[in-house]
Amino acid sequence: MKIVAKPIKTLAVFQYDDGTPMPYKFKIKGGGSDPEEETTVTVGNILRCDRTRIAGKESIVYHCQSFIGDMEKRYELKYIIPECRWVLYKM
Amino acid sequence: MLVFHVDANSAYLSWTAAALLEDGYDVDLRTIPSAIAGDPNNRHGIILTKSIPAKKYGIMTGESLMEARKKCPGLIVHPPDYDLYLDCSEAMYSILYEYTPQIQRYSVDENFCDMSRCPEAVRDPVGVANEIKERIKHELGFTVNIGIGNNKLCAKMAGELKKPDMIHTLWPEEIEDKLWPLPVRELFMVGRATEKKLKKFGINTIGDLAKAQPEFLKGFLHSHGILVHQYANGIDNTEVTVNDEVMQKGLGNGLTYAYDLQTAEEIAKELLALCERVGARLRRKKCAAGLVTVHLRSSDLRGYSHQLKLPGHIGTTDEIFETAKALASEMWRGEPIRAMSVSVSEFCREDEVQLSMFDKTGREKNERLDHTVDNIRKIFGERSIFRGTFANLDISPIQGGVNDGNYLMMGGFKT
Repeated sequence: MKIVAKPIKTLAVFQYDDGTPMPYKFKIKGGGSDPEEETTVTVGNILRCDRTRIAGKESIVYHCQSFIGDMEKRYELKYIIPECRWVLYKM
Repeated sequence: MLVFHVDANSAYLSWTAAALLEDGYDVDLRTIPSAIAGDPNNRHGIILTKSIPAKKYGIMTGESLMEARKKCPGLIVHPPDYDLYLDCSEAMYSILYEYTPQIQRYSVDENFCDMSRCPEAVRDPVGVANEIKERIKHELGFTVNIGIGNNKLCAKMAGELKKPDMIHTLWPEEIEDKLWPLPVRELFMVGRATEKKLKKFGINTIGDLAKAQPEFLKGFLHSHGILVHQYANGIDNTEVTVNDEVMQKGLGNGLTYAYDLQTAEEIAKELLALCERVGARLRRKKCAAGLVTVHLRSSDLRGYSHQLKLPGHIGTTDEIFETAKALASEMWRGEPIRAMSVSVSEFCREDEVQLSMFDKTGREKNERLDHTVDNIRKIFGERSIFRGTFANLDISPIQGGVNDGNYLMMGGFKT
């Protein structure tokens, strides 16, 4: 997997116990031929989530698996806590 | 005592590199000729730090971007991001804090840790240092050098031995082998001037210095001679002082301008903008100052300064500005001015200021006004309220300072 760090629009649910946000669905631009077109992906399976602090930025990295088109793919999403921002981190 | 000296390797550059990699930047700045430098259009084009490949081109910290580009035309340059550096420094500190609370934050990228009360570290210093180094590398994405010694000096000298991403020890029995063969300039507290004097007497290595007679050194270096002689022998009895306990002796604010200041009025306005921040910093420390110094540098880069010891102590921006203005007009010879700074020292606590018969009337009112303005700026941002004299002018109402002065490099630390 390679770092892509592309911004995404995300819908998240928050855990009962510690309130950790879990991605539910996200939209990303430029999936098809039109760079402005948005593709919606439902997060199928969150295999693991880790808290990281690379370069001092507290973040949560989610290792996910979803059907994109008709292919099942592994990818990582990242929520950057101090900036309240979601990105498609690795693909 | 067991001391670790933890130093981030080419801090600014590796912190920027780590952050860029996380943002999907495709190359690691640390592996190509690259540098962190100010914005060349803003006259701040000075190399702050460079990568190891850039060092091979002879690029030096402190030289201008133009000179550096001549040496290496393909040099990749990034601007500094002080907020990021503060975050990285905090993250590094928080990892170290898990091992010991006795940490002296020596600068934004350097920490001394007193590990004497960490049994694990006493048992296996190199093992614990290795764990810290690897944790920083994996969790924070940058490398550090850790120096281990019986005191701060040995730890620091050990940390400087070979970079990057290394652990070195400098125990008393290793001083002769590891420290003494190094050139005398490498020793902490030996600068360019001291080196020159020592070389005149044939003292070229740290070993030469260690073996010299202290009285002889005292003859031409005075008390500094004794200090460097002790350092050369690995003797340093200073404690690891936690920063909260460090007494700050002075503070100041200065700026190099993008244009020359020509008139007394211009100088006064810029001086006021500098004093705004000096005053705010002084009040944030809850101190009042007894000495004001103004330093001017003309466009031909000659600098001179004047200072005034006050009969009492002052704390308001107005009082600092009045004194600074008087000092500046006393020494200014009418030539164009390129850079200015205002600093204050000889502090006493704000609530212990001795009132005097000769204080100007309205002092208390001014103090209250300053505190109110400070609070407004704290809540709504520092540009939220400023003096009418700066209205419709190009001059920024508050000048100088990095990261709101709340920056380790500037003598402050995150509270």
